[in-house]
Amino acid sequence: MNTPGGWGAVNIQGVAVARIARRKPSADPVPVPSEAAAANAVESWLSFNAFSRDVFAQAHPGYEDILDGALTQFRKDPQRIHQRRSLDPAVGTGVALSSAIPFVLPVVAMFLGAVTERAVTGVVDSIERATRGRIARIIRDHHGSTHDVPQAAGALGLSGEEEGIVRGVVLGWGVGRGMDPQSAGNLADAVVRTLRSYSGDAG
Amino acid sequence: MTDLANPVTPEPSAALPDGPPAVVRPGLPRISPTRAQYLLLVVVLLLAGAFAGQVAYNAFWATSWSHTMSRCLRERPAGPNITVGQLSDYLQHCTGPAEQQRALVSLTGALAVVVLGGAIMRVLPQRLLRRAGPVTTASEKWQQQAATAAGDMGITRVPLVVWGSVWLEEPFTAGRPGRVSIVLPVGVRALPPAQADALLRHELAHVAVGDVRLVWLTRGVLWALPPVLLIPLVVILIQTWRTAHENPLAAFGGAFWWEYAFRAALLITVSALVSQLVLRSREYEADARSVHGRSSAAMEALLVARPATALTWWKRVRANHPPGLERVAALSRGPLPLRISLLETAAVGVLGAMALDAVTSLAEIGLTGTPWSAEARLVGAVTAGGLLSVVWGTATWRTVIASGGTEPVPRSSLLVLGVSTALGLLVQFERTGTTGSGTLFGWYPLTTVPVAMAGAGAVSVALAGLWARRRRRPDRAGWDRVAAVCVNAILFVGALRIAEDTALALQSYDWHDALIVSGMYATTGTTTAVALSALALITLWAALSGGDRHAPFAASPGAQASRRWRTFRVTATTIAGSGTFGTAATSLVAAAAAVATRWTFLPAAAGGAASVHSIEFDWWSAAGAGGACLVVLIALRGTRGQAEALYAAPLATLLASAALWGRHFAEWKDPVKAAEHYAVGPLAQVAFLILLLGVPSAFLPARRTPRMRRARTGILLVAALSTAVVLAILRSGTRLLELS
Repeated sequence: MNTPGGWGAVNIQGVAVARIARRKPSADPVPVPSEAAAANAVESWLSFNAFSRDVFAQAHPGYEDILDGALTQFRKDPQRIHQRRSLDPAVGTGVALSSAIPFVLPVVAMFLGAVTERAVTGVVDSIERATRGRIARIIRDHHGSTHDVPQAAGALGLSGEEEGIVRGVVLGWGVGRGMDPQSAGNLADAVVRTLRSYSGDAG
Repeated sequence: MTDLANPVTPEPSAALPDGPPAVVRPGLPRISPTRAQYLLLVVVLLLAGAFAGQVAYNAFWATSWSHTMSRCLRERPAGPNITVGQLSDYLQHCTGPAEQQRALVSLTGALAVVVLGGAIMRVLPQRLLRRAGPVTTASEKWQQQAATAAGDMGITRVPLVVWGSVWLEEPFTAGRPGRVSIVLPVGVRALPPAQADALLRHELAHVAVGDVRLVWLTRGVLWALPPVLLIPLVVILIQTWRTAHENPLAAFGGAFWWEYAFRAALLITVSALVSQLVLRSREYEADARSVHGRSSAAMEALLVARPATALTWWKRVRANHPPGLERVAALSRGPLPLRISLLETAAVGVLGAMALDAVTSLAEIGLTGTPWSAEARLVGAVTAGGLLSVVWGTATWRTVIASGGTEPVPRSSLLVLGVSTALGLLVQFERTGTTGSGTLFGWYPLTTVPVAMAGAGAVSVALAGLWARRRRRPDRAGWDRVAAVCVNAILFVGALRIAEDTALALQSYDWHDALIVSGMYATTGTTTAVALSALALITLWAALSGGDRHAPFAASPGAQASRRWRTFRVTATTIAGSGTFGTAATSLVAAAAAVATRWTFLPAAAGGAASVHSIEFDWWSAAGAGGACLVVLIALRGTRGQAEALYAAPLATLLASAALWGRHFAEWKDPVKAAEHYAVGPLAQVAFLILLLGVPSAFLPARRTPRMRRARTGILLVAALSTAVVLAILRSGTRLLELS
């Protein structure tokens, strides 16, 4: 298998994390969903919102009430993830309670950006073209099912190897942007489970 | 990051399974001593604004001011019948209006800092809330939990609980007074209920003690100061350009402006660092209040759960919070309040000294031509001494009392207090342009004020120990606060007054005469004597109700005695068995020896028994009795002896004075006035000695010798020393006499 440019070997889960962990936090801009795209296009805000909501529900069940706010904040400043400096208020507890939640939308945006070839080359190339096409079709068909696009149950699902690549890539991006490996792994699993649910596999 | 695998959202709950039952901690003081540190900082910053106002005044009105001064000097009354007092009164009235105008403009600078600071104080929290937002109101259950916790802490206006941006990591409290919000990060929802509750209570603890207001007030004033300090520069720039039509920047080529900039930068930097220091100290208090009446396990778990990253020294100095492990260590100490640290002591010393000179300078200007023109130094001493007593003195008393007098205060803190005071006098902003002349009263205060401050601190600590060791009723804890405030106010204000008197005397006399003028013949002798008497009474009361007692004359159990007889016997037993009895005996012997020596030997100076010189020898003999008592008690008991000497030495002095005054009772034209002189001068001299020996005695160990042996040794020593001292006084000729 071709090695995606800059991201490591086929066995991504172990090696890629190690390689990415040694790198500095990525400054690659987060691909922003397109305002001009069609509603059922994968690169549209509608599609992004819907996919994010499903991934969020998988990754952080019980926190759906804050997603709307998170989506608003992401839409207002998609590149916020690159601001490493956190607020240090004067009258506070002095205890940092970091959460994986703010990383969900930027990482999902990176994923969709890679799938729709709107991210930088290195990000796009982390997933093979064929896999990207299948993922895009899965998402488009799921979100566009009200437009009578036929869904071939099971035929659009990702193979185990492809799921492994997706998981490794998402995990790598998450760690590269400051998530801890466990939370990044959790998010990667959520992305895979969401794609599975879209394609109708039992998971 | 937090583990969010648990699909169940933790709900806040009033019933929290904390494990071990809650440890009920003793009541916390209503007023936090560390709040006063903010007050001191704000006062110093306002005074810096006042100095900027003064510089601006000079830019506008320097010419008219100097014309006024010249005219007053030119038109002053002359002649052989004009006394110094009349001349002084004339100059006061003539220059008064101009000086008061100068003071008013100066105060406008301080007012500008207040106004601007107040505006910034409202803007900064809103800015913080915007940066932490968008905020959304938390659910009713969180509001209810906050209300419950607020009720426990006596907070009537419950802050609103809101969620911050998803990017927010640290919970905090901010908002305008009366509209405070507790902003929580989303990560709180993943915490165990007990930790979430502990976090909420910590934030509420900040609200309960007024931290939110104080922090933003301090920051507002700190941000307001630089623009106010720039006003004189802008004024001069415009003036130079408009009047001289030359390069305005040329006006700033002189050394004054470089010094102005340097001192301003130093002041702002020191103030910012002190502000952070106080901020970190407040966290310990907030932690303690948040676990009051509860187990601290949840709070401790919260503090240690996140691994601490190694911070550089610069980041530690600028940090808003102490390291988590240090906070846990403070919590594990239980209800004992934290000792004021050496760094805090240094900050207090520096700021207190800055306030002293600045307030005195402003008062001298503003009170010119008024009936209180002579009280400028008193105003400065009361302001600075009052602040120091509250910020350092009462904080130290709180620590000593809470430990029952068992936890010693580091002696190094006394040295730090002294050195930092000197530093504050040197670097303060108001000395810009006058560095060559030292402080407001020259160079001598750089010695006298630090020694006096350290001495006052030493006496305060000794007294705190005595107070802590006395039998105290829990329902009379309020007396602790009253005693702490009174004692420290007397000590620090009095010490500053004595230090300034001594500094002024050193300018005019040699050191020997200066020491005499500063004690026996000080112009502030009356207030010093009254203050020492008040201290003596407080100390005696503490000693009489002390725990260091035994009852050699125990009543037989079951004895049928009248109630009055039983009361008398208990009181007599108490006094007889206490160390106070032995100490009082020492005073009596000292006085007796001094009086006997005075009456036995004639002074070497000329003068009969009822001459003025003879009276002065009486005063010095009485002072000698007190001094001997002081030295012997310190030598025998170290720092504990210093506390006892606070009532023993004045007692010895007054006993000797009374006997010596009484001998000439039939000769006095005004016996009451004479008695006043016999009391005031000697007591003032003893007060001076107590202050002078404060720091050395603090470094002596507190010796524990059997009470009876101590009493016997003390009596013998004091008799010998008192006799020797009075003999030396009588043989000193006219050196000690004011009117020689």
